[in-house]
Amino acid sequence: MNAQYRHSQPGYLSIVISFILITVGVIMYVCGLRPLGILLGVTGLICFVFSYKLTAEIKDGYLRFWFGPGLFWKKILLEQIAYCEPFKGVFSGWGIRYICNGWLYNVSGMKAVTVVLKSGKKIHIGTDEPVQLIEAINSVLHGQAGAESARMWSEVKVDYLKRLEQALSFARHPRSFEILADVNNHLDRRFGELELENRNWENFQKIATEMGPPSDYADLVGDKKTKWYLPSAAELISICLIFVMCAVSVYFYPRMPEQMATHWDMYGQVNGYMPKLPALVLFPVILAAIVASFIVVPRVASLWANIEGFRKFFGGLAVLLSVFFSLVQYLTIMWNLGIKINPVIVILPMTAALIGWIFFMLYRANRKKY
Amino acid sequence: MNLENWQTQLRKGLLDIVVLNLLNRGPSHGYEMVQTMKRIEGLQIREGNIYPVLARLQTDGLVTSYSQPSADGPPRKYFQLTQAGQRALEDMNRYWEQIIRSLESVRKGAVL
Repeated sequence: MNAQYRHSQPGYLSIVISFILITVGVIMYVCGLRPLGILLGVTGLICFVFSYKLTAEIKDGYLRFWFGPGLFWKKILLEQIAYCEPFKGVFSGWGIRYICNGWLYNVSGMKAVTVVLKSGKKIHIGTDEPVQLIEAINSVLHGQAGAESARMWSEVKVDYLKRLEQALSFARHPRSFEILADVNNHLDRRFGELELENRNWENFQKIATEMGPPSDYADLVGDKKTKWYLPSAAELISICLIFVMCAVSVYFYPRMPEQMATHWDMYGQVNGYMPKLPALVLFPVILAAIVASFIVVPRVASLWANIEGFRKFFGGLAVLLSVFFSLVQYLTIMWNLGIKINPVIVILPMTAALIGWIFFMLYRANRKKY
Repeated sequence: MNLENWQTQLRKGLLDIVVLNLLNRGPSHGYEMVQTMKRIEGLQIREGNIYPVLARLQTDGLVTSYSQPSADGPPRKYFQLTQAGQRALEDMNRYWEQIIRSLESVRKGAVL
């Protein structure tokens, strides 16, 4: 049986990277660096073969997709699909990764289709034509009329959720993240409960009307508990650390040499000096600017719902940065007082912790839950 | 005075106790609870009102939720009372009975 849908998305970046790897490999091989040349060439070749394109196909009751020529593929029984929708996560690179409660497979671009199975499992399939893939899946699942109604439903749902998100954001609702996810889930289930012949615009509107105006969610008694304008514990800790840092710097200012040691090589040998005033002022000022931006941005951001679930990670970063800057400042002061501890032993693990935390934050950084 | 507005506010204020009492009969999901309440005179609410309440009760540790696969769509989120919820419900029911008695005595002029 012929495929009911088939489309391949080229992985432009993979092609370019593979080409560069192979070219560099060949040049190294010719120049005499044979083992390294072969290693790079083979890596480039493997990279090309496995990721130069991602193909999605609907055939014989299955949705299949595979990288490259199709040596390894994954298939989903269409009957197991509850519904599918455009991928709502943020761009997070290419390849295979776990994001937004499911595995994402992509080779290029930022678009994908989220396939939600009846078991609740999610799979995100990268494609440059998400609308066509969704319609193809829906038309196989529900016929042509079904695909059309699924598209209409998607319009009604997205419109409702957008208005709800704005209402919750405006009210700085403390549980907007959770509510958006619940309402999305609920709306989809209501859609699933409608008989095929009842899936029309009027009934969709009826469901949206039954849900009530989005402002109702924000108006509920006892739900406006979040004092969003007050600083969080993490923000307070960061502010305290800045003040302590300023106080220590002011206290030791008279005892510092005119030219302070401010830069070290990897062996802990001083290789840079600065006049004492800028040397002591620089770190507190930079840190204050960073922490101020961390405090101000979430409060002026228009979509509170997006910030709310993310706030604690943001706060964690502010504290880590404050600790990092403070330690470096104190070690610099100690060094110039004659207590010589190699700053590298602090800077290296702290840098690793910072990078780790930033990766963790990026991993958690979904724009929306629905 | 806007009677309709007063009734709406009163209903919203009673949502916690109504939801906890419904969950006292066994685990349920938001839609089912709304449907049940729609059948009870004076307690009809729109679906939109129940999710913030459930989210808040969950944050307060009075209810827990679990997901259960559903044949006709995404998994349903079921809610059930916790022990703390059970205790809170008993306190709330006791207070509610007290309020009704007090209100009655005010209405009948028993309180000066």
